[in-house]
Amino acid sequence: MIPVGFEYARPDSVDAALALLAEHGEDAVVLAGGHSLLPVMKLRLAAPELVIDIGKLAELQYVRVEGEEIAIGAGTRHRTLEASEVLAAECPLLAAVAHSVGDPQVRHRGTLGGSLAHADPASDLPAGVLALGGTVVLRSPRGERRVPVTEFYTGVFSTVKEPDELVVEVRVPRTGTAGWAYEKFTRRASTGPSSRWPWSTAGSGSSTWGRPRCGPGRPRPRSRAAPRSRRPRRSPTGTPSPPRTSRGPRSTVATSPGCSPGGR
Amino acid sequence: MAVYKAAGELAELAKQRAADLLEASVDDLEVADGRVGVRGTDTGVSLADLAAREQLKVETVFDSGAASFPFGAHVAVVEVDVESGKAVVDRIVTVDDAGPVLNPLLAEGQRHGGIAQGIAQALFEEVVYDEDGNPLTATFADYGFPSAAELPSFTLVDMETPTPLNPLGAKGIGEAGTIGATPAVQSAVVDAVSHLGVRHIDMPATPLRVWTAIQAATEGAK
Amino acid sequence: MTSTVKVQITVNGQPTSADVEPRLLLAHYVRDVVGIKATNIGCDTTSCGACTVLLDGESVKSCTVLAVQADQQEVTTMEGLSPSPDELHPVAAAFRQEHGLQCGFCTPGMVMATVSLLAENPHPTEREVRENLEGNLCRCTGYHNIVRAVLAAAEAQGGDS
Ligand SMILES: Cc1cc2nc3c(=O)[nH]c(=O)nc-3n(C[C@H](O)[C@H](O)[C@H](O)COP(=O)(O)OP(=O)(O)OC[C@H]3O[C@@H](n4cnc5c(N)ncnc54)[C@H](O)[C@@H]3O)c2cc1C
Ligand code: FES
Ligand code: FES
Repeated sequence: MIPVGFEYARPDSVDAALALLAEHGEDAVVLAGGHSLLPVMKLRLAAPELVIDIGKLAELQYVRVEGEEIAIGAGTRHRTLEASEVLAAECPLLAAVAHSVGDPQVRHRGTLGGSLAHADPASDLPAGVLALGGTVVLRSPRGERRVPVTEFYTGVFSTVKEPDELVVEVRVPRTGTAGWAYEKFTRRASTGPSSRWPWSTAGSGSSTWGRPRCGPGRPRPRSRAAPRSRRPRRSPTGTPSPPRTSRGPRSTVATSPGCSPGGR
Repeated sequence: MAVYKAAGELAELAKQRAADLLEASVDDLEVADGRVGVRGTDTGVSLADLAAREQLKVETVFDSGAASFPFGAHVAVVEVDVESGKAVVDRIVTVDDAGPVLNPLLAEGQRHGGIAQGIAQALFEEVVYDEDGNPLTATFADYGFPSAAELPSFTLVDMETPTPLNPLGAKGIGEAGTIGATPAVQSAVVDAVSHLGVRHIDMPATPLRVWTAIQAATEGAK
Repeated sequence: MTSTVKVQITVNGQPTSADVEPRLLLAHYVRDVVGIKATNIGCDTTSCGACTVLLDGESVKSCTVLAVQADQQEVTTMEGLSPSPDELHPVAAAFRQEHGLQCGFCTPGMVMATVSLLAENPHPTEREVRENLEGNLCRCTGYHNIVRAVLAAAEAQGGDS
């Protein structure tokens, strides 16, 4: 499967990328790891005119402690999060959530910013960042703004991000040694329709520090009593949903030492 | 089996031809290392030379007369999470008796692959259509194909009972894994939740199906 | 018709270069532009891992990477792994030794995924091997001998723990 032809730009700075985005508006799309975007383009469910590749921008790739928070560049790959010593010490939940994404090949490519911006309710990192009560830093030629992740998502596959904005950074609190648990259940078409099965596809993370939460479009913890919702094939904006990319069925339970996974 | 029989007949034919050529008795000849030689001497002729003089060819048919019966037993240990309905195979032990095995490496590989497919048939694999007939499992992103992460290593127990129906005693191994593993795993899943009153679950025993069966059984019990 | 972009990609240690359409996938670059065919395309939907190659030493599914994304980087395929057929890379040798393949379609991807795994984790447990091969599907082997091959390769490579 081959995407529809497109023009390609690889700006060498975030500012240059923002300028291109501002110039081309909705005809352009940002490419980070490409592991949500390219499958959709290959299926021709998306056909942007211009692809702006930010995947090699070193200025978007970092994990560092800043005061009481950890600042993570949007271009940081899942694999980097998984192996990060800073996260292991300061926010092990996020490292474990990154580790639970897909498979190693996916983790070598996918980025935190791409995962958050894509807003797939079945994805792990939005759930993790929600559980942690993190902040998404958005930048455009108009300036920078910080949006609490609880206000970032407006629905399935949709966020408050404007077309000319880039996610440049994600900030999560330093949870240190606080206990945490992360549970994930992967569903497929052959698992059966979610409308009849109360387990959410989204992972949910919780820590003794934060509140239990789950992924975008589903601001509720997974529980038997939770209202049953159907995973839409189309987002409210009419964007076709990408193919389900999570493999499974399987569940991943990761917990901090001494913290028991709540109800497997 | 036909190849085995034909090879034997061809060796006999080669010995007869060589007997004429070497002026030896057929009983003193042996076929080894691509040659027909007089036992205990250096005298002999290569099969290639024999065939060059006159084509060495036999045609034969082997009919076993009746079907042979490979048999075996598969035992599965599964763990079922009764809250989500998810089943995990912890262990699978299989005995597959194919009779004498010529190439154990290939025979084991055949069993491994079959067991995996059998487990998958019991737990994951299903072609699903929506109400309008559109396939929902058109790619591996949607179709329940197991990866290494969803399977255990397998314990194979060897057993070789020859069949009297052919000279090698060999039976067959082709589908042994898929035939045995599926009911073993499926029955283990049902057994694991039978204390809740579940008696049957359709294949594949997906979390939804297991969970639904548990709900139905426990509601019924109320 | 969209404009082409010049890429320079080192493939198995050899510099390669071509003007490519931005939509050209790395899998097709390797197979059709460079012309080496060990890298298989199976599902083409990022699920099977048959197309796995190393990009700067890390496993990636080359059906889901654009050639332009690999510009100025190093790609390693199965062809680039072993010095010669008599001198197999330890992972390839272990797959042969342990009969870690049957039809062989998944094998180049499995081997490349394994090389990447062992670079990150030289002494994986069986569980870790299974979880790290999750992106590579095999219909034939039930993974049993593949997992054994990976563990044997880890043993053979020694590695620094
Ligand atoms: C086989 C497979 C299995 C997967 N399994 C899982 C899983 O188990 N769990 C999980 O969570 N995810 C999974 N994913 C998704 C994976 O994590 C993606 O990599 C991730 O969701 C998107 O990140 P990306 O960098 O690849 O984004 P891209 O694909 O490059 O982009 C995705 C979208 O976000 C936009 N975007 C990207 N970066 C930015 C930015 N900085 N600012 C603004 N917009 C941006 C793009 O324009 C695009 O619309 C899987 C993917 C595959 C292919
Ligand atoms: S062909 Fe690339 S993952 Fe299947
Ligand atoms: S050996 Fe045939 S798919 Fe793996």
